[in-house]
Amino acid sequence: MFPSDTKVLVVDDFKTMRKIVINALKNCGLENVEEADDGATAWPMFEEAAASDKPFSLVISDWNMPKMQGIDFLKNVRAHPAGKATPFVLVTAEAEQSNIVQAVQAGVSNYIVKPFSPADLKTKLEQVYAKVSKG
Amino acid sequence: MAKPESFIVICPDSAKMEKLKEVLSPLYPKTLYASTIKDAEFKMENQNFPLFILDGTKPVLDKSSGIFAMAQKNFETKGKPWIVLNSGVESEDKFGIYPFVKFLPNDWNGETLYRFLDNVLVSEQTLMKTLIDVRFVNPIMSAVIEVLSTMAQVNLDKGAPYIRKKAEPPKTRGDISGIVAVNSDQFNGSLALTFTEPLALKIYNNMVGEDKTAIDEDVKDAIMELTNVIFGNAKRDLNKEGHSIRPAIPSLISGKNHEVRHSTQGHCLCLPFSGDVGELHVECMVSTP
Repeated sequence: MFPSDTKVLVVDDFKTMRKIVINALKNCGLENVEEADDGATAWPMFEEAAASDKPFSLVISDWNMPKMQGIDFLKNVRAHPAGKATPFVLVTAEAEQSNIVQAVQAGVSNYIVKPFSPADLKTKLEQVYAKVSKG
Repeated sequence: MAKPESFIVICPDSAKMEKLKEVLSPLYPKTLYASTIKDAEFKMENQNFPLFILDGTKPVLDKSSGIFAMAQKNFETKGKPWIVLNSGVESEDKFGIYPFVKFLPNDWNGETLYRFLDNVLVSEQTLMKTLIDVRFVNPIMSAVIEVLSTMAQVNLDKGAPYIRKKAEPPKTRGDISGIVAVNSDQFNGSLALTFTEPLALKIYNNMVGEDKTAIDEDVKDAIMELTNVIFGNAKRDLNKEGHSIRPAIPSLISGKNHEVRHSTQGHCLCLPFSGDVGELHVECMVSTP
């Protein structure tokens, strides 16, 4: 699992979902968490952190958001020199195959389909960490 | 498709009335004809017509405010489709507010009128069949059960589904509702999830580990998100059945003991659920685009 000092960015336009994800992260021992209510809010946070000496080491983002969709935020992150390998998990209620293919093509590390339980999220994070660790 | 027994045609112009009789009588010999609103109301009493045909030529519409009164009184309550013949901008402006009105422009003839009648009646019957089909009911029911169970550890008992026919008043009330548009190429409508306050609070508290005692902005946010997730899951499975339902963003209604009025008027699939602390009423209203 990700080390406890991992800096995490949680992005969702619904406050409830951010709370659920943050609670699940805490249960995994991850307390260094920042949150954003849209991809458009998250993107400058990511850029600013990347420019500092404390970039985000994990991003968990919703797909459907009003100003900037999660898929577009992912594309921005992947286009940024500091974001090419940042673990990025997309959360979506849209489980259609076409969306998943689109996310994989854009470089998503893993995705989780709503509804999910805290245990489901933990499993996904473990899978992502194992993938990242292998390099 | 079984042919309906009769229509009622309302047309104050005697020449046009004759044309309509000539066209309709071979296939619909029992059709009733009325030349005035009063006459139509008299003939409609205790009758069950599957649809109404109205001549919409100017200046008849402009001068016949009684038609609009009738639209409110009879057609909203009975919810039957109308066809407005000879429609133009004026009639579409005035009658377009009624979702059950279909317009056939000036250049109609016997063939186009028959085809139009068939399409209107078939689409009504198809919608009703769709709503009571388990392939439509089950994805919605399963999404509700699965999402509440996974995200909030709340297990609800399913009641018996039923259809609330077009324009029947809602039988259910609640304290907070999430609503989302259900639009496809085949139908337009909305899905509404109406929770009683105790159930909404239990769901919220279980989801985020808090202890709210009244509905506030956080609970509203949670119900919106739940509606979003339930809709997304139901849509995925309904689209596997070929419905092509488009993505949509939910909205919210809250208020003690409110009833939901859907933006479209159609038949409504009603799914009641109950739990140890409260009730959830799910309604899916659809009409033809």
